[in-house]
This record gives sequence, C-alpha cells and structure tokens, in this order.
Amino acid sequence: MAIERTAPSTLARRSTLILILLGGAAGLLNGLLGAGGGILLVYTMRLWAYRRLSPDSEPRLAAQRDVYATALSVMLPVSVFSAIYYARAGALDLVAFSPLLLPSVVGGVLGAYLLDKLRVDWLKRLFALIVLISGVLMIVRD
Amino acid sequence: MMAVDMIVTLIVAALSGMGIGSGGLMVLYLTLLRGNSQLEAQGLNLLFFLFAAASSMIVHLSRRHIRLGAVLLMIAGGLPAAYLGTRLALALPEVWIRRTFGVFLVVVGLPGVLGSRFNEKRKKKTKKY
Repeated sequence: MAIERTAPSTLARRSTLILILLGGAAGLLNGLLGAGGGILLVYTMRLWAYRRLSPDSEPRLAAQRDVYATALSVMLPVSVFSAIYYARAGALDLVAFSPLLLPSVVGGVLGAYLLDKLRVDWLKRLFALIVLISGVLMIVRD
Repeated sequence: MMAVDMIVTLIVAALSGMGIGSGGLMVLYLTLLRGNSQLEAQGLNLLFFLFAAASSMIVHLSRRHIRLGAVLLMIAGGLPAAYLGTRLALALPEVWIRRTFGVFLVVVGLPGVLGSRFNEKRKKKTKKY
C-alpha cells in the first residue's frame, strides 16, 4: 500500500481548515449516530475530486479509487475513539457483540475480495432503496 | 437467535467490504428486526464497523494510495467532534436520535435510488485514474 507522506504543513492553509472541518463533520455524525462518517467522507471526496480545495493545493484529495480507503483510514481511529466513549458511558454491550465478532471479520474480508469480482451497481441501487424506505419508516414510526 | 444474527452480520460485513451501505444496514437490522434500542444498536454497530472495516481495509489497502497529511488532518478534526457527537447521542432523547438517523438514511438513499443518470454524466467527464 502506498502512503504518501504529505505533511500537513505542505497543504495550503485553506485546505487544511477544510479538511479539519470535514473530519469534524464526519466525527460528529459518527458519534451521534454510530455510523455515517465514512459515507459523508466518501460522498464529499467524490464531489471534490474535480475541485481544487484552494488555489495552491493539489486538485484532489484522493483519486476516485482511493476514496474509500482514505475514508476508512480516517474513520477507523475516530470510531475507536467513539467506541471507547460509548463503552465508558455503559452504552456498549461487549457480551452481546462477542458472537458477532468473527462474522464481522470474515464478512469484511470476503466483501473486499468480492468487490473486484462482482458487478455491484444494481445491488447498490437496491440497497439504496432499502435504506431510503427504512429511513422514512424511522422518521414516522413512534 | 444467535445463528441468524451471525449470518446477517456476515452478509452486512461483506456488503460493507464491497462498499455498499456499511453504516446504516446493521443499525437497521438491530433496531427494526431485532428490537434493540437505538443507542444499543449504534454501539453494536460501532464495534461491528471497527472489525468489518478493519478487516476489509487490510485487503483493500494493498491496492490503494493514501495521502497521509490529509488523513491526519481529518482525524484531528474528527476526534473532538466524535466526543461531542457521542455526548449528544447519550444526552438526547432516543426519538430524536432515531429521527435524525432516519433523515440521514433518506439523504443517503435518495441519490442512490435516483442517481444513476447523474452518475452516467459524471462518468463521461472523468479521466480514468
């Protein structure tokens, strides 16, 4: 894996601020909802792929194919932090989670391999629909 | 039933490894189908995300390129914000959190359902990276 060691000081000042704020928005969302920070980052990075963050910055934050990996690199430490805080507040049930640990790991690896082998476009649309309907249900349900 | 939970977890983890809806699906399963409270579901989902995303990351990373400076800046912003968000999650009424989550899902789902025409146009403008 290539990690390009760009020091924060070499990024322009405005893009520095934007990145901090973007991370902040993702962190806030993730802390509040337990999810979604990664999605926010991926959407935003895809939008910004065609824009310069500031006149002297690189034209893009991450190449399209690297967007997902970049978002995960940010969200993993942030989620660890959120999880620790949830745990200290007693809102994390480790016993309930323990049977799910192995399926999570196996599934994650499996999905990563399948990504290159399956066409996922229609699957994404289907799940977007499920997500949409569930969202509406969550809003109106009491 | 534990077996059903494990199978669902496997499937959702695989989907998230493929880049499909990782965040919301687990919470949806836990709250709508399994009856956990919103907060319990969010906590379990956080743990789930950590393990599923970390394991899929290991596979993805060998083929990807990350700009460390940008990542560090985003993390710098993300950590204090996560603290704030978590405090809000614990302090606000569950109904509010659930509705906010619902709004979030609608915002995420809507472009996915409507979006293929938009994406086609954008793809034509894209250079192949």
